[in-house]
Amino acid sequence: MNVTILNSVPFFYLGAFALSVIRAVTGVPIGGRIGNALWIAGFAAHSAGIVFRWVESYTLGIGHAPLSNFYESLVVFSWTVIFFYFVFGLYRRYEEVGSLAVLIAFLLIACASFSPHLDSNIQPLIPALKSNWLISHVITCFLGYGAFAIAAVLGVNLLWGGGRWKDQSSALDERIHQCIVIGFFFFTVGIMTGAVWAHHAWGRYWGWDPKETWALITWLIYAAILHMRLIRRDTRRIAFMTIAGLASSLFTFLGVNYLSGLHAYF
Amino acid sequence: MLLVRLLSRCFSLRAAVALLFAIAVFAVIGTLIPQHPRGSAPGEEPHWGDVLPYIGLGDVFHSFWFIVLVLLLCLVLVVCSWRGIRTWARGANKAGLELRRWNTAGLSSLLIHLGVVVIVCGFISGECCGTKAYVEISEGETVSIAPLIRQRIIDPGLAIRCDDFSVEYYDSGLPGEYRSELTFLGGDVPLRKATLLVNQPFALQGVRYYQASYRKVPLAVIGVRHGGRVHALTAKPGEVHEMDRETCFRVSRIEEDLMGMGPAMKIDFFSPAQSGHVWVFSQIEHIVTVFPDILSRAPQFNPDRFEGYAFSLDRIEPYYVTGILIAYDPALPIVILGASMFLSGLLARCFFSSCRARRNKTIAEGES
Repeated sequence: MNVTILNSVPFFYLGAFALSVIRAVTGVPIGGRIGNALWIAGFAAHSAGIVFRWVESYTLGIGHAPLSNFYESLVVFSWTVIFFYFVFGLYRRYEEVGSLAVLIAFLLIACASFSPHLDSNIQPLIPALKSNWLISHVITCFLGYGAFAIAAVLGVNLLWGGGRWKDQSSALDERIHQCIVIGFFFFTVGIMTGAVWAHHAWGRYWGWDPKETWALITWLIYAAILHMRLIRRDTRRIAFMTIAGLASSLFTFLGVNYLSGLHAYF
Repeated sequence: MLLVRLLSRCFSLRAAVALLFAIAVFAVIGTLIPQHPRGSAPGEEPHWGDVLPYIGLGDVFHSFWFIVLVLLLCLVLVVCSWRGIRTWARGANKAGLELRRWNTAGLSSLLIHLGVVVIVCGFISGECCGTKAYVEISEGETVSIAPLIRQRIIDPGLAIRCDDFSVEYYDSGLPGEYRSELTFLGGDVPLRKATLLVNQPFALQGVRYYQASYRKVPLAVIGVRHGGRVHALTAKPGEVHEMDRETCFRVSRIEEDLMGMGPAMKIDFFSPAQSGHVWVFSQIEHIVTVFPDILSRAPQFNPDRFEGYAFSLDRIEPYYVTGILIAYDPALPIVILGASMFLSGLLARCFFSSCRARRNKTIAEGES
């Protein structure tokens, strides 16, 4: 049931993105409402799919939050991107390039839904994941990733969004800053909850595991961005840095699977 | 004057940003180049990577460069925080508005930055003063803890006995849960009983014990015929058994299936008259019927090889050993203090930012 619902979500996001591309290319203001309806419907289905999956795990007698494997983490990552797309009002004010956020969400959940290598079945937890810290650690990290993704989308908007944004770069810069502050807060809480969990599970709060190290690298990049803004408000440089920050976030999430460590998904 | 200018540049926001990036670059290197932290041995074969330890890249996170960068960052943070406090002290004499603004923004920044410094201090102290040990215990076995820990922080007679170890598996074959029932002993007197599970450590005398791992180890059930009697024994790999004052043997290897000829064990035999090794197969009679001259051609397969001693392998029974991690970190409260400072500062900063944004918006709307 939950997999069927979640498998339908990419089509909603793809439809919303396709309509925004048509609007951007032709300049004809068509399908705006339909586009909005599509991503809202997709987001509702996405949320429902996650809730159903959680409930289903209890009916199977396994009973855990859907945050335990690569499939579930892709689904949740995608959800947080759309969540912040909604929270920061990208669908209203930055709809041209803002729909890139919908594309990112689509790619993430499409990867989860259509990859033949990913097992979408609900799996029981391995002993190390049987902890209440699982929910707080994973959710806060993904909320951080989601906010960073939106910051990067706004950064793209500022850099390549067309002349319209040159006059409003200050407002856009302020919105990027808000995204980074919120993402930084959640990501910091995510790292700290992870440290507490590691202390309980592995007997150390920090072990220079590749995932931990890359989380630190991402954290350092965003800390630097926040401080760069205090030195000189070079909006373009900060916009570039948000994209570099997203690349680091994605490597923290995906890339470290190719480095040996305790956090690898596959 | 030049020195003052140079110092102010060294302890500036720009320097802090540069250091953040430099630490990030070093950290990237540390994840891409295989690391050989203290206590682990690199590969035995000569390799171009052998030069890495000499420039600190073989163990980046404990290298001189990395530690210097982190300490420099802390120094910059302390100096910047000190400047902030001085600004606040001067501002205290000025208008109340200025003071209030610094109270929120400045105090939150101060907490965040000093929080980082405290965390780093706690981490380095933990690395220097803390200790870790790993021990494997089988059911019924008792292990003394004091020799495993560097510091003299626990009773010298403290020991752990594993009363029971159990593993529950899912249908898929993956482990669902594993637990060790332990008794902590002071000399021979039981002090405490504890159940150790993953994510549920146990603390005693300031030292924490973690259920780290487990593994299956083969146990050989063997018979030794000597002096007209058959002695039944169980032996673990590496275990030495004394037969009399001068004769002993060690089961050095146990194999579930050796060369397709079934279960076997390797015995190293020691006595003044004869020493050597022998492979004892559980199905030796069947092997001899298939290869009648095997014992004459390969005497190391002959269980009666040593005069007066005949070995037999009845069966191999796997048994579990539980892996217990023992950790002691006296600096943990410092790290917790730093993290609390950082988090409370960050929370205050976030709320201050949102309040300021709302206030600016209200002012802008009023002006328009």
